[in-house]
Amino acid sequence: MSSTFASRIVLSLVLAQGAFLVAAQTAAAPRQSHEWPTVAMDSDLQARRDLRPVNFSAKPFTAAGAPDAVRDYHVVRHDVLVDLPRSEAIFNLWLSQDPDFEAVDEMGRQSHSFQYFVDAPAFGAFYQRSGGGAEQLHPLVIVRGEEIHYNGNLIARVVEPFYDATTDPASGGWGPVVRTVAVKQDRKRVSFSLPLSVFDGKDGSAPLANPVAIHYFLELYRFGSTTGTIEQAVAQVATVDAPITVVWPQDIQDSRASSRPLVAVNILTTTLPRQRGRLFDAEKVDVGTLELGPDRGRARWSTLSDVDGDGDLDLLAFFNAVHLGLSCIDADVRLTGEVLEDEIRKVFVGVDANPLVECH
Amino acid sequence: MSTVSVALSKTPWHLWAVAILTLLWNGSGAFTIMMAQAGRLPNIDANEAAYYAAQPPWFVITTGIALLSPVAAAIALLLRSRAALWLFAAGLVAIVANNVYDFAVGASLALVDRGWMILTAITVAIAVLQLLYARAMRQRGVLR
Repeated sequence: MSSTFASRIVLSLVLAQGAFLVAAQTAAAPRQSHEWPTVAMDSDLQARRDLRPVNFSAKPFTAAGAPDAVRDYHVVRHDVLVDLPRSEAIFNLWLSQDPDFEAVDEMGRQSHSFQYFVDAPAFGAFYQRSGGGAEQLHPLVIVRGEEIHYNGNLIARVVEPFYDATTDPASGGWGPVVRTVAVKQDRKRVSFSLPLSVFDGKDGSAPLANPVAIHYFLELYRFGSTTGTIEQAVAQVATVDAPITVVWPQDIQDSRASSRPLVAVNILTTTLPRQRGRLFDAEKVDVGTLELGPDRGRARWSTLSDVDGDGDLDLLAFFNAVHLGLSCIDADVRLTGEVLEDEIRKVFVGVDANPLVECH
Repeated sequence: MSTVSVALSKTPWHLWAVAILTLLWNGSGAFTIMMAQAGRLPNIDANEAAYYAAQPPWFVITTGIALLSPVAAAIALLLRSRAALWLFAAGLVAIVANNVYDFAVGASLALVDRGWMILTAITVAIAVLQLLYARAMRQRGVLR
């Protein structure tokens, strides 16, 4: 009895101390110097017909029965690869339904859409803030699938507080356009790429010149309403360029390989002029980390061999073609993996063309 | 109480010679091919690489039988064990089965290279000779 009473006293004291600390922290925290836009989606703005600049009668939808449709529309898989040698970020998104980015309902709201909120943390801002300096913003980019129905392109905007949306009604109040890119769709899969320059600051700073990471949030919408879940992840950042050539199934002589198609990838060792070292050492690649194509197929067999006949050993890796997930929307095929460089494990990326025909 | 004695012929000199040679031949073959299958044999050409990469798991297992049974048989021969006969037989069956499959699906390296054709023929011939020799030694009562 007395021990129960003592426990209650101790618990009460702990809770009181916690409440005091929270109150003290809240009082000490500097007030934010800005407010983020409260208009999360321009779907809401488009509900006002005077702000809707496009013809919305092409393939009218109704929002009737939206709850089921909203529930059925979700993210199956997503990833982002930052290809630093080529200064671009490649986004891949697999959805539960074939999204229709062009159809709008009678209110002008896009049938299916998505938004990426992409953030590249900047060390400079971190040190300045942790040293008591002023809040320093670095570009937060929003990729708005919501605007695809305007002209078929994907719009990336840099988030800017107090952005005047009256001159740019499609913006949803988020901020100015930093890039317009093509969005590629093959049934339930959506893919696009952004140049890393979208993260450059107005002062010319380029946080991704030496990136730490790229974080992103991903949200889906149907007819302007969120589907209720937010995916979050960190992009894979590849910093080393690997010279590769891909040999496709039709070019592999083993007939057994053609019945169960294999893709061979030559990862070449390259040397600096006059034997001053190696630019890329294929012998130091961790074969277990190799991933090829959008589905990140794993190598089923590999060996070291002088593929290009230059006297050093290259890595020859074979992949099962059906595990790559390549489709006609992939102009290139990317290989990623880890390589030991100066005793440090680094992520590399190599690119070769995808010979698949264009989508119809 | 009775005792059973088994009369063993005197071990002929050639048994030691054949046993050591078959151990070297089969051992080197097993090492080379298993290293290649594991991707640890450097500088194999593209055709051979594709050949190993495309092998299904069951084929790798039967190749292991084809490679390791004769090695075990050679050791059994050195020990004058009659198990050598069955081990050589198992190896020969696996070699023939693998080659029949390879030819049937058109994947055999012998189809793309004359050297591989000769090597394949020699491999099968030696496997047959090993088996015949072990059978002869057993009939002569050299193997226990």
